Amino acid sequence: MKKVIAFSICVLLGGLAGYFFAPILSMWIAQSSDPDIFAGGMLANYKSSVVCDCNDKSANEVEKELSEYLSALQRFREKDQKSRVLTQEIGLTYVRLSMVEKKFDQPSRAEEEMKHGQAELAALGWKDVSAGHLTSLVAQLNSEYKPIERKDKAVSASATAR
Amino acid sequence: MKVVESILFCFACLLVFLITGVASCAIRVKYRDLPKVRASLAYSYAGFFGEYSFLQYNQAGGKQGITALLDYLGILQRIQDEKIKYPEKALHFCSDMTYLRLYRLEVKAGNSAKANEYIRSAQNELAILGRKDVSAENLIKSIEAQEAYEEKLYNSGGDVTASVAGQKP
Repeated sequence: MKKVIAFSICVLLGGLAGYFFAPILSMWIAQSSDPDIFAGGMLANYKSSVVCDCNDKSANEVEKELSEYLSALQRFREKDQKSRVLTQEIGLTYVRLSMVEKKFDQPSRAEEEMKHGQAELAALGWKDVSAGHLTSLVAQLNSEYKPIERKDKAVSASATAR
Repeated sequence: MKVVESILFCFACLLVFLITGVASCAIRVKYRDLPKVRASLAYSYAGFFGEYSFLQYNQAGGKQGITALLDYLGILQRIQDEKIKYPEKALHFCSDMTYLRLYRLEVKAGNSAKANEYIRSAQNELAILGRKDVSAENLIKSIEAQEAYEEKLYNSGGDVTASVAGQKP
């Protein structure tokens, strides 16, 4: 009888351990079987959390998050220097940073960030890289990242319809 | 003898623990977690890449736009080929939209043969979605109207409060 109980406990514990280990294993399998989609998906989620103005972030926090996001993008580009997606994302992040610097009343830094952004986007063949156009374009793009209401709670979400 | 028996019993318990652990983990990974993780990552990635290709089409146009749109189509095709649980309607809608954008760029470049090829591909995608009126004239009108709207919204400091969710892939 004692042996049956001991085996039952082992079955139960084994089942529970396997059940809770499954999500970690799933992430690992997804990462190793589809590294491109994994990296792209993670980057997209990271971008949504940075760009979405969901948690009433202060301008300081926005600037810090954008700088960290930019560093992450640049690290990615070191591995894949020909990536046009990363070039565009880096360019747009510079423009976002420039807009934040403007809010801090730091025109020289804002101008510098804007110049970096313009250079990146011009390299992609963008026709109009004037500061005014890029600012209104990024404002439009930012407005599409909105929090959604779920069960009476505002939760962050990217523009998932895209 | 008793010591050997106890050791064997412990080994048997460990074996039972490992077998049930592996079995429950494998079942959960195969039927629930992995399809969910792959679908969620693919959804985010497709959205991210969709925005990139749209901006290249809208802001650069020409060869740059065509390359980006074709890359995006490649990703949508890959999602389909790898049987990732992605909303099928969204997949065909995004493919349709991308073909129509490619059509517009090829028309502007003067490649009518390629443009017609893309219109036919867009018609196929819409037919899969069950749309009845998939005439080329209708599709051309709709993409022209869409392009004019996007031109206003993204290229002339249009109404920044307007939401275009669901309109660009």
